[in-house]
Order: sequence, then C-alpha cells, then structure tokens
Amino acid sequence: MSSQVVEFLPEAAQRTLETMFFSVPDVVSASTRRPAGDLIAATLTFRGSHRGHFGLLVSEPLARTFAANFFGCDEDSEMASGHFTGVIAELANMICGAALTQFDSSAALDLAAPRTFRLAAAAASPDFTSGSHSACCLEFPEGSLLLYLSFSQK
Amino acid sequence: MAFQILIVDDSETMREFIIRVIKLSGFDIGRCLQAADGRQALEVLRSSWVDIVLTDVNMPVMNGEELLECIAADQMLRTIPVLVVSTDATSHRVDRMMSLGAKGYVAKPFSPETLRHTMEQLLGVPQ
Amino acid sequence: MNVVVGVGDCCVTSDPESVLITYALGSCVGLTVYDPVAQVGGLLHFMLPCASPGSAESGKSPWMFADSGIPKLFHEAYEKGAKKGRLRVRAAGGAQIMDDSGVFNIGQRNSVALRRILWKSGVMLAAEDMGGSEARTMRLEIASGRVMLRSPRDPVEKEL
Repeated sequence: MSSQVVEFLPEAAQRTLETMFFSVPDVVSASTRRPAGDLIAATLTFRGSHRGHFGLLVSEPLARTFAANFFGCDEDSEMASGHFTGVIAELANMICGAALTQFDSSAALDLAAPRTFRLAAAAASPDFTSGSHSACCLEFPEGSLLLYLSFSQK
Repeated sequence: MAFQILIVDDSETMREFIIRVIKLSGFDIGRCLQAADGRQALEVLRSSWVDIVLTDVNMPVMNGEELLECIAADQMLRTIPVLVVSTDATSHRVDRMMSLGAKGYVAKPFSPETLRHTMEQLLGVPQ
Repeated sequence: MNVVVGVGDCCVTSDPESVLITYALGSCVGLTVYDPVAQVGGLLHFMLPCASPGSAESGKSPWMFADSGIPKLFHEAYEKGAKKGRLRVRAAGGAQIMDDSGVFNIGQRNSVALRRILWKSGVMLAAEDMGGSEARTMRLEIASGRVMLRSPRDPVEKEL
C-alpha cells in the first residue's frame, strides 16, 4: 500500500499547490530532512475504507507565501497574516483528500478537521514524522514543504 | 436579478476563497451568506431567500449529506440548487450527494474559473 | 491589417482595422485583453514567469516576463480607455515543450504565474486553452474582440 500511495502523494500536492495556491515547486524528492527555522505543522486523521494519519511541515515564510497566493493579496497584508494557519489547514485537508481519492476513488472517506500548530526551530519534531509512512518534500525558493502519510494497521 | 448565495463550510478560510471567486466572477450578487455547518445553514435557509447553496461535505454538528437530506425533505427548500464543493471526490460520495439532489459537484482543489463555470450553469447565467 | 507580436513582445491598440497575431506559443503564453465598449485590445506573448534578480535577463524587455509584462499590458490598455470591469481576458499556450535545459516545466510555470498574477489582480480568465504539447498561433481581432487559435493538431481555426 505504501508503495502505491507514495506515487500519489507528490502528484496530489503539486496539483493542489498549482490550482489554489498558484505555486510550483523547484524540486520534488523523497527527502525527509526537516526544514530549517520555525515551522507550521498540520495533522489530521482519516477513517472509513482506509484509516491513518496525514501530516505536513512547512517553513513559515513559505506558509505566508501560500496564504498570500491563496487570498490573492500581498504577503505582508493583514489577511495573509491573520489567516495563514487556516490556509495551511486547508492545504493539508486538500492534499490528503486528493491523495486518498486518487489512491482509491471508490473508497468511503472521513477526514477529520486538521489541527495546526507552530513549531519553533528548536522544538522536537511531531510524532507523525517518525514511524512507517510515505513522505515527500517539495522545495520552493521561500522554504520547504514536507508531507507524511501513514495507514493504520487493520 | 441579484443572486443570494449561501456558502456552507466549517473552514472560514475556504469560505473567504469562495466569496472572492464569486465577487470576481461578475455575477450580480445581492448577498453572500455564510454558515459553518449544516444546522446553521438550515437556520439561514428558513429565514432568508437563497438562490443557490454551495456546501462542503465533512463538517461538524451537521455534515453536507445530512444538510442535503433535510433540504430534499423540505417542500420550500428542495427547489434551491445545491452545489457540493468538497475534497471528497470519491465515486461513493459523489453518487450519494447527487442521488440526494445535488445539482453539481466541484472537487477541491479547484480553479476559480472551474467554480465560476459551474455556478454559471446552475444559475442559468450566460457565459 | 495584421500586426505580428513577436516572442517577448506586446501590442495594445484601439485601431479597429488591426488584427494582432502571435506565433509559436509553445511553453510561452499569449494573453489577450479586450474592452468591447472602448474597442481597445492587447496581446502579450511572454516567455518566462519572472526575471531572476541580477541575471542577464533582468535588463531585458518587460514583455518577456509574466510579472512585469502582465501589469504593463493592463496599464497600457487602461491608458487607451479600457476599463478593468469590462475587459475580457483570454490566454493560450503554456505547453509542455522541452526547453534548452531539458526541463519540461517552463510552460507549466508560465501558466501558474499567469493565474497567480491575475488572481492577485482580481481578474479572472474568460477563456483559456493551455497545456498540452503543441505550439499554438493566436490572434485577436480588434473590430470584433474575437480570439482565434490554431495548432498543428487543429489546423482549422477555432474561437477561444
């Protein structure tokens, strides 16, 4: 199962980022190296035909760029500053949903609401970055976006 | 004729995106009403005229499927077109929502032009 | 009267006899704006999303890049009497064609850059024909506002 979803995860991410966040990564890889600096993390669980967890880590400057692009405003605007964790939650929701739909288009899916939190540069990595998962890294001029998808044992 | 639009999504972020698309689409808009779940949406529908409902599926309190069931069961509300806008584009979900009377389905992520085009079709606006 | 818009170039006019035409829209993007009331139209043919700061490209024509060319196209249309709310905006190109470095995604980057700039400017595309793998020819008739496309696969012109 992991080997299949590892194909869909970067494709779902790129499609989401191009369509609603108007961004194209410079590099897409299987790297799991944690980005430097302060990060925004998002995590959600899914149930139904498939159960598991999805998580992402994004460099804070990159998160601001995503928010500005999403809202169609400047990066230092109030809209972008006040809502950028909400934007990252939506990003997580859409990438996870798109990846799972592509993985199994006939599945019954139930995605929980994402939880977002700031992760200081010195803080320990969240639990979803360890253990068995599919991962990919998308690199942009402003920073990196790391994605993690794992299925629970049935 | 100015359209009254109801947007139902537990994400304020997504509601803001959709509102921006609607405002840039050139539709004659009276009001963009908002609800964070199906229950709030029903309160709006029972107190305000609405020309079209855009609804997510996964929401707390009352989800999009339950909302659609209530709309379909209500003689006054069932003629209002409902457009589903959701990350869940599995055949299971799409079939279920369309069988409950949804008139369209837009999968997230979507481009602004895709949403505009679908709304034009449902509202009968010339493209 | 045909006015040829070259690669990395633009033309904005209110001459109703003009037909703006651009060829070889491969990974490049052709963007047209047209105000039917003022009868003002413009066609931009840009090559890249943006100039890299300090690079040899950054001193070149603003029409080469989406981030400089698109705002300038709109500004010149407004100067000739066009109004933002009346503009019909259409785009073609952004095909996946191998560029000199062998990387396949300049067309995709151009397309995304276009969409980002338009979204941030509060403008939506009225019509588009983007992607694929073939070069397109695009023309804008100022008298009518029609945009016509042709490609090797579709030698018969179609309206966008």
